[in-house]
Amino acid sequence: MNDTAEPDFPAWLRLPSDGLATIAGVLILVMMVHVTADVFGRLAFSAPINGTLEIVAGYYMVAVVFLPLAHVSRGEGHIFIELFTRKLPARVLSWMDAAAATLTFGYVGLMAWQCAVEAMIQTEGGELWETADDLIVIWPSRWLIPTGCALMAVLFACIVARHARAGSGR
Amino acid sequence: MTPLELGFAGIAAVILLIALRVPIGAALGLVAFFGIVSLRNFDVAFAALRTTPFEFAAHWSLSAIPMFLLMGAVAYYSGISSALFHAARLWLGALPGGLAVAATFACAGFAAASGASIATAAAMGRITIPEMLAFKYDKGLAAGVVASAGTLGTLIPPSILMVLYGIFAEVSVSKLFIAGILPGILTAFVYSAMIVVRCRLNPKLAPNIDYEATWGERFAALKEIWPLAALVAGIIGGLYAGVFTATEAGAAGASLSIAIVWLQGKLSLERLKLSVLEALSSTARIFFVAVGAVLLTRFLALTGVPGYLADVVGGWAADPLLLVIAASLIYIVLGMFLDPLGVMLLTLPLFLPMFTALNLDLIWFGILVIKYLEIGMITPPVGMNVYVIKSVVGDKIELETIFKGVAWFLVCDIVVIALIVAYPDIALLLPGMMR
Repeated sequence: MNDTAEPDFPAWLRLPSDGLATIAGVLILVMMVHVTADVFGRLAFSAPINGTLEIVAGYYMVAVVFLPLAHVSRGEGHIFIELFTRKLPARVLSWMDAAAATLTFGYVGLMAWQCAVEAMIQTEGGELWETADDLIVIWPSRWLIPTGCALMAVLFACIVARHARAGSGR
Repeated sequence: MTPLELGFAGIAAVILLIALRVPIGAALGLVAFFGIVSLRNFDVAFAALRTTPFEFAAHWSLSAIPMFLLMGAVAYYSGISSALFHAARLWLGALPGGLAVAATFACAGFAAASGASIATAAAMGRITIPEMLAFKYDKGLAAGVVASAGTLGTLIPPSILMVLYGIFAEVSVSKLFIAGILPGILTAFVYSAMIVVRCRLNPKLAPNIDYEATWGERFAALKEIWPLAALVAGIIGGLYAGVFTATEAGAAGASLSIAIVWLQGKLSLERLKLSVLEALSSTARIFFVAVGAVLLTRFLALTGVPGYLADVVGGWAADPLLLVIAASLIYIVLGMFLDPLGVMLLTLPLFLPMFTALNLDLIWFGILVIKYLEIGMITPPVGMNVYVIKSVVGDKIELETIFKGVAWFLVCDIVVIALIVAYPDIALLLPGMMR
């Protein structure tokens, strides 16, 4: 395990990535309070909060999972394995990291693009979920995924660019 | 290439990409994407990529994962890990290898607030390893004990992997949680017995510390940890009695742990922020890997690899014991190269039907799977817990030394698995008494 940390993380990326992580952070606490209130209401007054299940699944979970992606990737980074590679010279490692960042950029970029397509489809269809006695609008939540993924893709594009600059400068 | 060959080539490609330092989630997802493209076409692959992330994440039961992660993070930032080690040391420090035994039980205690092995190993490693090294403990023992006992984080409830297993195997997460208790405690005792025997036979491993604690000190040390212990007992009691589900327990547990830490005067805005950030990071990372793993299972389903493996294993599957042994081998081999989440999501579609066909208990199998996955956390080359410990200790201990130190604990794990296979009641006694 090691850092894919980006030491010279571009300043203009900091604001959006912190912003999305902050929204996710607030929502994880709201989710906690909402579910706790639902449980308490059910146990103490036999009065659960209607639609808790759908709001948790449809909104909080999607936000908590996808919005912090860029923030997470710049910090301690995603887990990767170094037993095979740690004895390699720094120059080779740098090339490998550039390749890994390119692949990650490709994957997350594809996901951002395709999930944006899906979000568009669901927006046009006006996606709704049925709760016990109501309907809730779900399509806005679909946009959280391309948002989080796109910012993570931008971050990895910056990492690739930095490796490219370092490579050509040598 | 036949689809089957493509499937195995895909698995090999994942392992190669991971070895080349591609993030695990991206490695799984990319191979799945291009695999589906070559078996079908871009439209099918795009459709999978479009729908899987939302369908997987927008899930009520999975909300237990961020909630239990938050609870563990709050417990960690409240200083529970050092309080636990302090107390365990006063109670167990006089044994041969006492600090290592204390570290084992402190990990078990932290595991009751935390649902993840990596978090448990990291939290306890920072506190216990420097202390053991200061007393000239063998480096392999000092690092190995925390890497191994960290795996209790997943076995002792709450448990992130059990939440996922419960959903995929369609069994009660509450029952799984309760079923993990005795095997977790058993593991801690077997580890401790091994440490005591080894250190008695070879005192150089752990120089004796002339240090007697008074009973007053021992009970005073418990004062720090009893509120969280009470919370954990409340959660387990509530699950046992069926008052709430595991998902609800996650949110309530996180709320109450914040309330407790606040009442103890240990909650600052800074600590809350750090806890939330840690929970978010782990959540995003787990789901990033899980989405990749779900995509890969879709690809593998198209290749027919699961059916092929089922046929191969199926020849043995008439005998439950042989099936369990076959499953052990597959889990241990895959666990060496893939992360636990990937292994679990890949193998469950294969094994669940076989176990169901033989009428084997899926709660019992779940505990075995968790135990296998935890072995994968400490076996080379991809042993996540060992890497976590390495990142905690820095240059002081070599990676190879940690893997060697872990070997003794692996032997203990095999003993524990053999016991659970021979006496399923170790796992099933408690959930069997639930309503």
